[in-house]
Amino acid sequence: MSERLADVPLFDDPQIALLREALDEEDLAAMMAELPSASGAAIEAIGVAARSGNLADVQRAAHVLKGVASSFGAARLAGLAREIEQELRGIHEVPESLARLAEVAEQTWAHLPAVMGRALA
Amino acid sequence: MSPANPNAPAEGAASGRSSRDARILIADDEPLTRKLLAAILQAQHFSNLRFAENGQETLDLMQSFQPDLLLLDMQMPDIGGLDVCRAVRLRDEFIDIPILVQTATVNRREMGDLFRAGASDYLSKPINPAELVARVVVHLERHNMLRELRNYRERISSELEAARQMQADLLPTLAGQRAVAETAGLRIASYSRSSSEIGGDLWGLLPLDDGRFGVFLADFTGHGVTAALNTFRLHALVHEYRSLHGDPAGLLSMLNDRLVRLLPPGQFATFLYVIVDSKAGEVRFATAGAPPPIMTSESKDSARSFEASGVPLGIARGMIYEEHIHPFAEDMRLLLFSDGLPEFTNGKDDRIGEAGLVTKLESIPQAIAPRELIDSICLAAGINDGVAMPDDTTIICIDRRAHCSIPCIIKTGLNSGFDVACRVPAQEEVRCRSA
Repeated sequence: MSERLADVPLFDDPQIALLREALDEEDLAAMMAELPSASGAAIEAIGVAARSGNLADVQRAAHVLKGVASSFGAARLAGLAREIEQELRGIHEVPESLARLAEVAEQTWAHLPAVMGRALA
Repeated sequence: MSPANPNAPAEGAASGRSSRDARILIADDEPLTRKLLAAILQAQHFSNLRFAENGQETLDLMQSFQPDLLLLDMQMPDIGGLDVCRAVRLRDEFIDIPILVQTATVNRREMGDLFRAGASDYLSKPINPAELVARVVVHLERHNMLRELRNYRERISSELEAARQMQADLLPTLAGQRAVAETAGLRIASYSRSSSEIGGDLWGLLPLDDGRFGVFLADFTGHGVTAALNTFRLHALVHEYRSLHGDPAGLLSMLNDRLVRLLPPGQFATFLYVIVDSKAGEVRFATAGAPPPIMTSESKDSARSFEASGVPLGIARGMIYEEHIHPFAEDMRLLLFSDGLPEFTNGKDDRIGEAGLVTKLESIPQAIAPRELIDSICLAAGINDGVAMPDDTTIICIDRRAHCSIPCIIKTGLNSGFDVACRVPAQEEVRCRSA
């Protein structure tokens, strides 16, 4: 993970505020509760692509992760996905990135109740 | 989430429908993103939503769902957003559907590709709910306006075409012209063209007795629908006063008094009524501000304008019109026209004017048929089939030389080296003796 990314907060408060303005609290909480499974699926897809040695598929899966994470305000996770999509120099770098992804994902998911101010289903 | 009805007719997107009823197809391969987009739109009361998980499903749903707007993810696993965009635009029914492309990666090159592929707009990720709703609303409203304009235009075109046909039916048919011409022993040709679908010119033939007939030419102020509706009024009035068809000045006075009551201020008509009497060898006419007819004489090798007087119809009550009588010998022809002819301009060249028409008629070979005479003066005025007409234009040529005893066509052809005979259309068969 780049130094720049280490300074990025787990969640982007302005994006969360925009979602809160637009959505019913219950609807937003329900979707936030799905973020772990959605981002987990994208991370799993990156792993599958890496194991088959397909860098393009790795980048495609990282693009999906970047989109969903950023839209739900998971800024650091989205930033890491962007690095994998755009800055990876080769397939050999993927395992290290995946490990960081797993770590940041765990932190993100753990922080979700604090972001929403409530326990998520 | 409201269930969409896949069997609803495509006309569900009919004009006048609220943007909130619009059909929106959300194409994104990431399920939670689809859910987020839907939730944002539903919170704004957009309920007619369908979803596609990949490019092929998007194209299939475009056909079955017939959306009013496509929200399209740039990157999908099977067919990319740009290719979906191109494929959608290839179909006529989606030529102007709003396609909003969502993309998380925007650079200037990709932006160009995106719009070249047919995207209407783009939405950057992360999704900004307010931006999403604003862009969807703007594009749906624009699309609705375009559709309403198109529907309106189609309806107006259809109605104008019906009106054009009805107005054309007011004019003498070719067969009717021939019948009158044959009875009177002369030839008639005409040209009538409106500046738009319908116009304010009207002409007609009124058979009288003993081979005599009347010919009238009216030109209402302005052109378009108002002027055209007035031609229908005038047509009815002209035929209502059958007893005055033999009295040019009396007919004009009566029509004027009726039109003064019918027409609002600012609307009026120039009007010319000529009674052609071949047996007596004369024309009697009265005019209400119309361009003066031009008479040509083969024996005198001349052309000259008649008097032009009289106040146009519909301006002032109680107008008295003068009747004029002129010889109409067997070597003469008469040209009647509305002001669209002398005043025609294509924006580049000068108007031919009435004096220019007289000059042109003096230079035209005497023997050419009436139809060709009209073609020739149109050409001289700059009027051709492809040119836009700034004003309604009517031209009528009445040629007595059908009865002349001189083999004029052949003579002129030989003298001038201008082979007129070969240019005379079959329907313009002349009665002159051939050499």
